Amino acid sequence: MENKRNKDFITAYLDNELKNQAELNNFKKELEKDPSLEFDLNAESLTKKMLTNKLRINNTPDNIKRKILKNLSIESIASKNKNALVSRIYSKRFITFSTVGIILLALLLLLINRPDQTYTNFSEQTGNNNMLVMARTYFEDFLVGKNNPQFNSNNLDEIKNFFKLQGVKYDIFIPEYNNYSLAGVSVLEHHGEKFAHQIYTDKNGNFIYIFQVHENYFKGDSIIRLTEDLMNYLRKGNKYISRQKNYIAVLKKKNENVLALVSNSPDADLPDNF
Amino acid sequence: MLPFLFAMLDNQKQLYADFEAEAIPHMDSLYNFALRMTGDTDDANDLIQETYLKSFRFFEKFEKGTNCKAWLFRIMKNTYINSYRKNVKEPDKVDYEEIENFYENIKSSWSNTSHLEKDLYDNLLDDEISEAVNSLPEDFRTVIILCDIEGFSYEEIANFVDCPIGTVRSRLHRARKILFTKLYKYAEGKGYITSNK
Repeated sequence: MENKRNKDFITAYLDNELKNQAELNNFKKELEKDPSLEFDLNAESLTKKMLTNKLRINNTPDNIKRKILKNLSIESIASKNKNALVSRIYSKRFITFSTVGIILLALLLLLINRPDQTYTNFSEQTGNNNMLVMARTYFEDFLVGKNNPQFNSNNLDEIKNFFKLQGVKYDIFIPEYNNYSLAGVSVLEHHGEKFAHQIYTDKNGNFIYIFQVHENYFKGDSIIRLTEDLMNYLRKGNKYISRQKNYIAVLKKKNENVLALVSNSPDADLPDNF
Repeated sequence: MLPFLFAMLDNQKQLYADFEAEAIPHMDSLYNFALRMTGDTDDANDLIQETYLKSFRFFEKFEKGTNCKAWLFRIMKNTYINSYRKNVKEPDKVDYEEIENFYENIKSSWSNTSHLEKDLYDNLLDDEISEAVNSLPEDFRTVIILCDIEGFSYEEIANFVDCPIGTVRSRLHRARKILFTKLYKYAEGKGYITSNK
């Protein structure tokens, strides 16, 4: 029994976890007079030393580190808003799980019964010059603070004037949304040309980002493009909706401009109001 | 509206900055643990990404000033148990009685451990030690990694593995004895043990 107790103490002593002073003193005395105990301590100490000093530490691969940091920056707003929404729902006592279930079912039915044209399949939108890809990237940059609004005003003429002065060569459409206010606008350069960007926000911290381009930029050796089938679809007055990475993107044509909307709003009606 | 927008962005930036300062520095420790537990690079890559995403989502619940590293390890453990453990091939069972007998034989043949220490420590390489750790049963491997590699206290390990401190101490003692005998056998087989007993 004494032997078993001493063996347990070896491990604790080695790890500086023998906190009781009396037990520590007794153990040290035992150690001095028992060579067998000393061997056990040395063997265990050697094993610990080899583990601590000789075992290689594998660093996280750089590509995984980058991926994690990128995912976290995208997640930073999406998860916050989602949590806020969930907590708001459950803070209402009259909404029970069954009520939530009915709401979800209703939303599902609404999604299933939407007009087909909004979910038509098109060629995949890829490449750095693709307007949908660009709009998503601008939105992600905005969420992490890399693309901040440059100007704001309550006066629409002042905003249009800002776009003009900054070198945007086409007329800008400035839509209005219920519960959302214009939080600012900016002009960003792409291949030497200036393009208009608008940011709206609601009181819950949801954002609507609009990237607007005149259709002439899609012609010839275009610096911005969309696949031909999608452009034809938009020219007929249709909207294209896609959902990716916790946010929604909608494309539509307004007069001679093509507008790309990207938002983290949970509002299911947003595409209809666009 | 702009002040509100900037305040929102500031809050989100702050949350991200706090997470970056508190959690990101522990990435390599977590990656090592993931690698040792899964034994597979792809699984370790997935496990660490999942762990960081989950921990970020719950970061608001993390109590500032407490041990962030221990908190992250607990999230990784739960993720590992839920999604990865079933894919991991459990090492062969260890016959502890056989280990004890072998250990006692070593002990009886060495009067002084200083030569033994030199033979083992100087000759054994990372791969050999690593292989011995990977061959430990999961319960033993976990406490060894947390204590000897990551430097957690017994109390932190006990919280992590949900068992009393006495059990942690006993598992550590057994795990080190198993490792010692495995490494001794290996060194003997390779002819590393040349000193006089």
